[in-house]
Amino acid sequence: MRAVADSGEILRVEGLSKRFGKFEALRSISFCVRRGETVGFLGRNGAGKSTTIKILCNLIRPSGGQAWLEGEPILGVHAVSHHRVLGAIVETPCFYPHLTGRKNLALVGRLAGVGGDRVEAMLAEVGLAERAGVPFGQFSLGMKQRLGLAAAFLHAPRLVILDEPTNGLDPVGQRQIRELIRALTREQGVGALLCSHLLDEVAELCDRALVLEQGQIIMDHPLAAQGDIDAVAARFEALAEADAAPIAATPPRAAGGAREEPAV
Amino acid sequence: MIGELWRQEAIKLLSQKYPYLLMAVTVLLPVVRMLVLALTPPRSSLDVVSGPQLWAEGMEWSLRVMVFVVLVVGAMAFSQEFSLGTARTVLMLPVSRTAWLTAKLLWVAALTWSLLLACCALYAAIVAATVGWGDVAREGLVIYAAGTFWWHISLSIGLTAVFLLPVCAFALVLGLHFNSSGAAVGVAVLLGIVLESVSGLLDAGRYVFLFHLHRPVALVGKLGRGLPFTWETELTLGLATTLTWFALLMLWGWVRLVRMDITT
Repeated sequence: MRAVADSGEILRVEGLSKRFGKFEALRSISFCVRRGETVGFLGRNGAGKSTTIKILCNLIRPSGGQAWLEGEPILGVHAVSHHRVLGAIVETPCFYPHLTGRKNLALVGRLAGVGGDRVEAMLAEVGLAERAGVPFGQFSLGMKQRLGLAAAFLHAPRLVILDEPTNGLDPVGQRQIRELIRALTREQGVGALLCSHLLDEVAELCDRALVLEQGQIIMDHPLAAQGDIDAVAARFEALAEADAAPIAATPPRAAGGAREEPAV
Repeated sequence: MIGELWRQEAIKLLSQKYPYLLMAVTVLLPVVRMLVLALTPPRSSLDVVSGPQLWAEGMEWSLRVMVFVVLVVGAMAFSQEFSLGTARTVLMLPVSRTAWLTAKLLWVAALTWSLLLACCALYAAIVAATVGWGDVAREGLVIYAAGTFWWHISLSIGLTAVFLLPVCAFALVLGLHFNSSGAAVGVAVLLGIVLESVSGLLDAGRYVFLFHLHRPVALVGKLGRGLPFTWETELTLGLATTLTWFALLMLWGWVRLVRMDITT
């Protein structure tokens, strides 16, 4: 097992791979997240972002590779102690629909070793203090995302993994959630891996962008200036053009589904 | 951690409506049967119901329903977590899969045993209030006196509790194979009916190697027929195979849970 070389790194991933039958979802990817750094994890649908995140959260088993959190290996279903320093939102936050938001967060808190005061403080921080008595099943998507953020940050983690935290929200909701993430990460100095397919979100919140394509990291780019995100955008456009080329060459379908023969 | 998970299982289940309906059916349906038997004037000496007979009648009815209640609650324990997506939420906390499985088993077993004891006590009170407890006699011969009857009841109920354990394990394991709680419950109940029917058709020698679904009913039924509880060779072998089934089912469940990818 390789130990973390750089003491500034909070997360190091080496040679992570995952196969689902014959499909290779991840192809030996390696990257790191430094303390207090927010890293954007970009990629198109099916690129392998969620798979990577689920592996790091021990929800699915990798086919190969290892990850270290503060120097400790974390992959394997029996390794759970690192969840005390790791917070995460994976896809849409899921809680028990018949329990209130407050009760759901309290259940999470008790398993994470956090008391009731912290639960109330987090509910206030994410703006749910007044609506926390409503059953989770009656929450709007924005409220669900807020509760998910509260759960992810509840035990004061040193690294958070956020999988498309603004997914499905309207522009106002997206803005609110982004401000919340910025407040929770930057002000508390928490390292973050932010998975998204929204370039403006990554440009706004992240210090660095990793671009994943077909299970491989094809770009690791700092985001210090506006030109940096433009470079990432250009890479995406190139990918889209590469995909579009064979589509354009495909003859269009005629009405009724019959394929038109190309003119010779 | 197991204690906290157990507590949370209790909160989650008891904050829903369906368990109360199931428990009410299990406890109250036999009460109606008992009251009809106790309050209907006997037409001949053959119709006279003794206290132990009345108690066993209630317990027999209750146990037939209880097996299916255990199958429903057990099958939903995991399948509901998968269908709601809350398995993801729990396993992103410092919770080991082994502890989670253990807590769920302990909770389903505790619920089953509580139901068993509640029925036992309620039906004993109904007997005391109606026909009364007394010596059990057949053709003038006292089989067991009122004082020793409780010893026979305790032994049969204790063994019944053990024989219900593999039913809990069977239901939990089934629930681990379904992402839909409806499908898990449906299959658990269907298999329960099939296994009960098949095991009832087999001769004793082969029966002991099968799943003892109707064994609890048989144990109590013997008391109802005015027979004392006796330890038979078949019972020893039945108990041994039951515990082996329980261990094998739990091992199956553990392997399934620690190897499974949580993708929902």
